[in-house]
Amino acid sequence: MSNERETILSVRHLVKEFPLEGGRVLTAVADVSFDVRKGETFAIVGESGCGKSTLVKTLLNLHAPTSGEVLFHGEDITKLTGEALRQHYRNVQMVFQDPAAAFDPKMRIEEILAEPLENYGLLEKSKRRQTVEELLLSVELPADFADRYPHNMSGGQRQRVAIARALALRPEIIVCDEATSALDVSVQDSVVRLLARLQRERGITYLFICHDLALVSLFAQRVLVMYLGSVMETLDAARLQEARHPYTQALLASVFPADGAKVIPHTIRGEIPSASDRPKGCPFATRCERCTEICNEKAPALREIAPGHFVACHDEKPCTKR
Amino acid sequence: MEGASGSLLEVRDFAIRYGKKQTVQGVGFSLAPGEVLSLVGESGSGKTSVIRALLGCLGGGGTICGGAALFEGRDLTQLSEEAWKKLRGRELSMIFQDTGAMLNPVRKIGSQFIEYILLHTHSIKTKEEARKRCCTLLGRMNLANPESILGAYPFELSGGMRQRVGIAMALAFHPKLLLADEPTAALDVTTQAQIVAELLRIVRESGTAMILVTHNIGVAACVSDKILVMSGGRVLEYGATQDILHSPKSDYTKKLLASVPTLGGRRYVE
Repeated sequence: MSNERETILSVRHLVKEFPLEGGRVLTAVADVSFDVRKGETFAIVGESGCGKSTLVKTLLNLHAPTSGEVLFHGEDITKLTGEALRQHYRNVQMVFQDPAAAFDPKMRIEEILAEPLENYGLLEKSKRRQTVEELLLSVELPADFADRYPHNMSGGQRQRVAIARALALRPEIIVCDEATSALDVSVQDSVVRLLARLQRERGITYLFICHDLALVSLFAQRVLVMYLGSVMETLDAARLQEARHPYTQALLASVFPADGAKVIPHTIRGEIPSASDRPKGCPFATRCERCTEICNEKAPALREIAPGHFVACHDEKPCTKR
Repeated sequence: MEGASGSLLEVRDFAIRYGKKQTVQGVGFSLAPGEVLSLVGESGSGKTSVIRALLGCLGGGGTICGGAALFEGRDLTQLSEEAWKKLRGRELSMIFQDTGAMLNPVRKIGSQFIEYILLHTHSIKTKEEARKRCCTLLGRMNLANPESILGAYPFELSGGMRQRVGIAMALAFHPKLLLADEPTAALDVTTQAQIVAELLRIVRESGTAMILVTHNIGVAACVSDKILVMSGGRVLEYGATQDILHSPKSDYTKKLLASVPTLGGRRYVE
């Protein structure tokens, strides 16, 4: 695969603020910019409250951004309305964390999988059953699952149905919001393999929201680390262990090794501050072991320290920790 | 398996059924004082049923239909409700996945914790003494401002703080055995690492034995002396942590270990 693939999604200075009582503002996404290339898996990692869900909702135009642009093939989708927006949704589909809550429990799998196509008038009645069976086979489920209800399936099977539904409209981008984190590890393994195969065969781009750094390092091409609405670091997933930002290093240090080393991870203390009360300087300053005076005064800008590796940290010394 | 001598808990040929359906059978293990055992396995493997049965609180019409669980020689499966009241909290206690669900949402944490201390401790007679005891216990869990925690409602705390409160309550009377049901599954990774470290430190300090139910193989590998792998209500493998991790016998355990994503492992994509 070539490295110079076309940019499919380009996010430019995206800001999303929510007004609070008393004129205060909650900044969920603070000036985020990144590019996603066609056919790659772009992972967004961070802990709860870091703004990753708001970022995704804004990317999908489920929220209007406060400012900034989201360019899909060069077109700003935040300006789309009405039918143009509805047609755009065909290009971007979602798979959610909880497959039990993602379906109408009263619909059979056939109806669930046919619905997106019928919404866009893309399904002839005579071909309905055949199309649904093809979708099921593409996610490695037996064709007769079409007659089942969601509650008659295991969590892994339901997640496969959710993927089949996302595939129905042949989208260019699929957003996976913690799509494998509710599954058992062996089921997660098979679902990730399925996602990887679909990507190879169809060139689908994944936006992969995940908090499991080990999984991200094995499945994604690019990783963006968010903290309190800001980008801390972006780098190639295969080089995740070369991460330089203290927050990314803390996330890496929180992974429990499964090799029997019996080392309890040593990580940062405390918890993420409230997004309605962002620190004036670096968002991570309150928990950072390497925090200095400038960190409390001025937010660091992202700078490129190696090709494709961007870090927002005032500390320029290469860190040997970890 | 070792004999009963010197063991705190000895579970033999344990079986549980829900209605007519037998879901757990032939489960056996032993635990020495201060030892940490992890029950690992996938959802539906019966691991939660086992520890709930040990605390005598199986839900959903579940009953123990065979075997014995000897806790210091007493069979937990044969205890009266009166005898249970003396054991729970003091000798055996439990922490759940979300302590917030265990606490009363409309009462402040302080009033619930103080009540719990007063009910179970004869040496503490006044609310003031109980409050002091609560603060000490919360402080031990690295909670910075115990007074403000006592004045808060459960929903005002973050998941990690609530879980620390749950652990502080469970360990209030230095139980001999702590049962922990997925205590960190709902937490963020950095919080999970903090809480596992704190839990293990306190358990070691007070010499409490622990049975940890988890689906996180990494957590099990890092904290436990022994691991028991369950699937479909049966024990597939049981032994010392290092043996299970480095020379698993059953195909199921091998597959389970191979599916755990690790940093620097084999990538799914190019």
